[in-house]
Amino acid sequence: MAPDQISLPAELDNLPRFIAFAADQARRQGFTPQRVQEIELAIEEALVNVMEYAYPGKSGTLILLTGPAPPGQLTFEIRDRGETFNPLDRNTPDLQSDLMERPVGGLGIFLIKTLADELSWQRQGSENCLTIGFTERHVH
Amino acid sequence: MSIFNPGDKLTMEIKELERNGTTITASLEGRMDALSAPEFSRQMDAWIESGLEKLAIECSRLDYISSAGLRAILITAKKLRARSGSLRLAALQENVRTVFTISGFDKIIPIAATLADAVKEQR
Repeated sequence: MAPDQISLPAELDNLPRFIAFAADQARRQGFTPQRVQEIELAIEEALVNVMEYAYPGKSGTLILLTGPAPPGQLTFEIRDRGETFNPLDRNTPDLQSDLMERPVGGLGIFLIKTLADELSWQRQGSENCLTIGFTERHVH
Repeated sequence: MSIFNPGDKLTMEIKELERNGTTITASLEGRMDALSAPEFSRQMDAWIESGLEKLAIECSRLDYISSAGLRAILITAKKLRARSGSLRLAALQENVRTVFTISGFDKIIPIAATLADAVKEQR
């Protein structure tokens, strides 16, 4: 059986291929269209974050993979061989202040935390491993 | 259904619908993600440079938005406010609206039910 993973250079141009893989995996697990889109969103935010920080000034590879799961559940791993970086180590962004005072940025990780059901980061040898799990549920 | 096709690249489209002096109404369609958001920002900067102050965007065919899209919208709203203008959105799809709500953007970007309402509120 072909492994359920996609491995590509950590470049923004490859985002659509990563997201197509994630959406396909989610559909295969029987998630509703709404939840599939929430999964796409969380995975985009995670990938973009890793692309931004994993390999500063050099090129490298990102691996997005899924493990076996019962219908209605799905867990992704995002792996890179870049510098040690925990993207989850971030404060909750300011969601309250007025337009002109509202800081630009910091929402990506917050969206992942809101949309995912399981989220953890580990340094494993020379790899960063971000685990993001989903079940079928409605966020709002 | 997710509208994503692996063959698509920049699937976002922004169209000028009407221009009246410093006021523009526009429509935004497709996917606004980390790949397409810079195109939105470039168009906004071009309009602002040509005098734009009040902008209303119809979003009924905007299928997806990520934090990169939110960031581009926030930056545009700040620039327009700094010129005593404003950015208003109209007719968000439910899933897009959910992203605005989670992010607290519904408190800083006025969202109307229809483009006509957004234009009315902007006068």
